Amino acid sequence: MFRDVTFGQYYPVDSFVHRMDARAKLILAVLYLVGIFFINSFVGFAWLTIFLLTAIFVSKVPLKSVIKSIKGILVLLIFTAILNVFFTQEGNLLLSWWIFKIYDEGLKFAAKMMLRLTYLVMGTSLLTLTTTAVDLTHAIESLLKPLSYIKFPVHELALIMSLTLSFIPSLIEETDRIIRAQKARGADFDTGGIGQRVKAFVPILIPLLVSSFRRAEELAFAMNSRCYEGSTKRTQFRVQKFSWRDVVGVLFQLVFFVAIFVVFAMQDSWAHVSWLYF
Amino acid sequence: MSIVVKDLNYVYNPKSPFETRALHNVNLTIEDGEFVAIVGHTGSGKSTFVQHLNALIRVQSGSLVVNGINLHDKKCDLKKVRSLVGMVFQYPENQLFADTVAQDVEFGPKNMGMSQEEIDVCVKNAVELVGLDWETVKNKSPFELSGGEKRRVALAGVLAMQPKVLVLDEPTAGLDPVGKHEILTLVKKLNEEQGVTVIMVSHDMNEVYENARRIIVMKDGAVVYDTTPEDLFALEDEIVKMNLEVPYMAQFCNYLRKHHVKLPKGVRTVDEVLKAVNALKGGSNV
Repeated sequence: MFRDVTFGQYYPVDSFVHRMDARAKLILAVLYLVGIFFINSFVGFAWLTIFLLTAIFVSKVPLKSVIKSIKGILVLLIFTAILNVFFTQEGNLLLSWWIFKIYDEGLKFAAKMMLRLTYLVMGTSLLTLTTTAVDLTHAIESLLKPLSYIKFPVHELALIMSLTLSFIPSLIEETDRIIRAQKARGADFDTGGIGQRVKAFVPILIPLLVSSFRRAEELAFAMNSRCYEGSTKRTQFRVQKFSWRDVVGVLFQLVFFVAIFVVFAMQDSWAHVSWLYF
Repeated sequence: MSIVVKDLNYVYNPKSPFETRALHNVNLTIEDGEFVAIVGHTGSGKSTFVQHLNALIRVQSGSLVVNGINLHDKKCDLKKVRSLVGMVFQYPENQLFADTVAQDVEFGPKNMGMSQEEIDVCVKNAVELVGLDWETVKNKSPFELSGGEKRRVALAGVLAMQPKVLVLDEPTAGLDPVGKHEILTLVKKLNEEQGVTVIMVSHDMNEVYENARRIIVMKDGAVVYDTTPEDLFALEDEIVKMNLEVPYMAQFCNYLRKHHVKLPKGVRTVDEVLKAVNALKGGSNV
């Protein structure tokens, strides 16, 4: 039942993007997220589409897998779109029926909002599709290193993150197993009212809770018995290294995003170029 | 009334880079009252196959009929199938959840829609069947019990539904020798006295050899052997090649036969071998 969850699942192929340093990808992803909010025109989104499609093509991840990641926010997308269509009351009135009034600005705004959210999710899922969770936590740890000078427990934080991430698959598997075991005893999760359905989850949640506590305890014992000490300096098995790929990748993305920021910064003086701000 | 499997195939994650074929053209028939063991390496498709039997995994291609119910039909009576085929997973004690043993065991029968009187009888019988004392245990929390007792409570939870077919996935894994023996004796009793069909997945060849009357060997999702334990383990070299171990008694019998002791067919236990050897010696009862 949980096997279908593909959002952000690592897609194991060997590509230029997969081989880039996780830290570079993480920084670029942040740049991407920030950059998206500086786009206010359809031309800008077309420009971003070129970038995103190129990145997806280079990553060798099928476009379908990236698009699938939108499935998770589909409801949110539709909801925000509807809200924006009805509550923006600017521009020319296109349609009026009872208390509903639809303006052309509203339509434009809703479309841009949907594009923004879609690209947001597609971009970030490209990061997780091409980077393993382990690499990602190492990257976060490495990027947060400066904070350790003000006594911030960076390593512990990274450890908590990587443990959490590494437990997700086994917890999903465990949940799956418990669900099957209760189903075999005739449990029914799909029919009945809300109260009944919520109650139907008790036989799953309690065994799951019990087993996660057991796992946590066992893990703590295992770490203790191997003399784990978080505070001492630890080296990493896989050393992260910047390479020419990261330079190329960063430069490539900068070309696109510098253009976006420039267009945004110049919007007052370039306002007469109407197509740029449509 | 039996289990008939025809051309059963199953693929996990079809059309993705994680695609793996778990079952490949499985064909077999299991009659009522049989004691069948399914053995094979990890990833040979045993678990996938047994989960088909109570429709936890739905048929992708091929056909599967259990007691006249067509499981390859999209709309078959799931409740009926699941009460007919009881499934005990690996480490079944991990599925316990209720406040008391009695409440946990009655979960299955309640889901099956039995009346309260029926449930009370079934639950009490099931708990006593697995060798626990009803009065002492019924109001205890299942989490207070020992590992072996927990497993027996979980087993009772399945038996309370009074299944005609019992599927066990490594029922003795992680138990001490006494616990193992108790579980196996119980399963054998169910099979012999109540005529319950038993299908047991196991890695322990000695346990399989002693209990099962028929062994199905799976490899890479296909059935490679489907025969009696005596015939199967007579092929010692083939078995070793498949990374399975040969049970001690089978090794011993094979050794005797190799050294020209003419053991009759079908001797398995220590007592049977002793009797056969004595008979060959000429009847003296040493």
